[in-house]
Amino acid sequence: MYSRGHTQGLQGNGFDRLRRFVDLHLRPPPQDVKAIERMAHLAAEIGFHLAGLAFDSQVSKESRQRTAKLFEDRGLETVSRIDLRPKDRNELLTSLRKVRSSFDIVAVECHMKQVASLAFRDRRVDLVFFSPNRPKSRFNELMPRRSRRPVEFNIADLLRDDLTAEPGLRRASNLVSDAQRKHLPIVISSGATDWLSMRAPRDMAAILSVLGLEAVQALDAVSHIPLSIAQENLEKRGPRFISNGMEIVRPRA
Amino acid sequence: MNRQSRRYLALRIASDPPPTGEKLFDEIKNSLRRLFGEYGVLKASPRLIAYDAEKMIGIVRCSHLWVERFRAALALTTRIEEHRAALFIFRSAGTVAALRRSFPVNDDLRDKRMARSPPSDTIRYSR
Repeated sequence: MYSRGHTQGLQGNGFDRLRRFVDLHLRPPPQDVKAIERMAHLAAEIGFHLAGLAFDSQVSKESRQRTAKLFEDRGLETVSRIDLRPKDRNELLTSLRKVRSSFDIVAVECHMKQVASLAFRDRRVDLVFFSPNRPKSRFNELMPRRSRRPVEFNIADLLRDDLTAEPGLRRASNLVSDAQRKHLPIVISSGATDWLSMRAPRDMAAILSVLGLEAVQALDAVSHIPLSIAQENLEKRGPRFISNGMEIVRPRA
Repeated sequence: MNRQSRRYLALRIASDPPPTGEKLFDEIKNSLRRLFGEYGVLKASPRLIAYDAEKMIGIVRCSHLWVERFRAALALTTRIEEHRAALFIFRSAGTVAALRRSFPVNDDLRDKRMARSPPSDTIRYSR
């Protein structure tokens, strides 16, 4: 599912130029067209191929489509995404039932073990991420051993003005080591709400590479892994999909 | 005797008032210092090669062994002179010429240097 690249490092060689970079977590303000245009322009300029646009469930479908159109005008592919922040298991199950069919990608923010264990097991969940306000900086107890659900790290958590960089860096470093110990794939996203909190894909990879992730894995975390998540979900939401490995094939007329 | 290899990085600055070259370079060094300390600044040996304040693009140089760490330090920059800012690295190359071919920068720094010390009329002959 999550193929690995054949590159040697962050600088890369010929193969590296073929990487298609993905930022699965952009949070543009739906009413502010100028801000959306700035983000779309910058995303295209710094080398992204696909953007995951996160919206609240209250945002109308027209508004979502308008935002996506502004990104598509810049030559980017888009997927819609929702971030769920459930208080308990039941709320997560209810929310998943409601929103799964309306969004391409469903991500769940985990702050307690009960929610995390369900989020990592449920096939309707695509990504799991952890709250930056969580007092504990270890994630070991929240990550199950037998899961292939990718864990997302948002670079915006490191760029907060109200905190010094050290707690954020410690959290990121622990996340990397805990995810590696549990063999969970990592996805790096910006989590940007405006253009100044966006970062270039190789720069995001460099941050986690400095914190202990291998260079190739760090690049995969902004390219192959999020791209395969997006493609898989777009296929699932397509008209031909029935189940994993089964699809409708119409004979040619 | 051997000179250390270097990498040249094309930089784009996002900030509402464009910073001066000196302030930008100070902030680059501060970012490195925050993440890796004085030793990091020493080893990365950063240098601002060219800067175009109008287009807000520039070229920086660093040790080839420190490129990843240098990128990480620049990515964690959030402010220049108390204004919100972001730095993006677009491209990297082993020579300035290679970088300038794909990333033309009007060099304000060179213009300033030239203004400070105009070229003399004397001609130098090499042996």
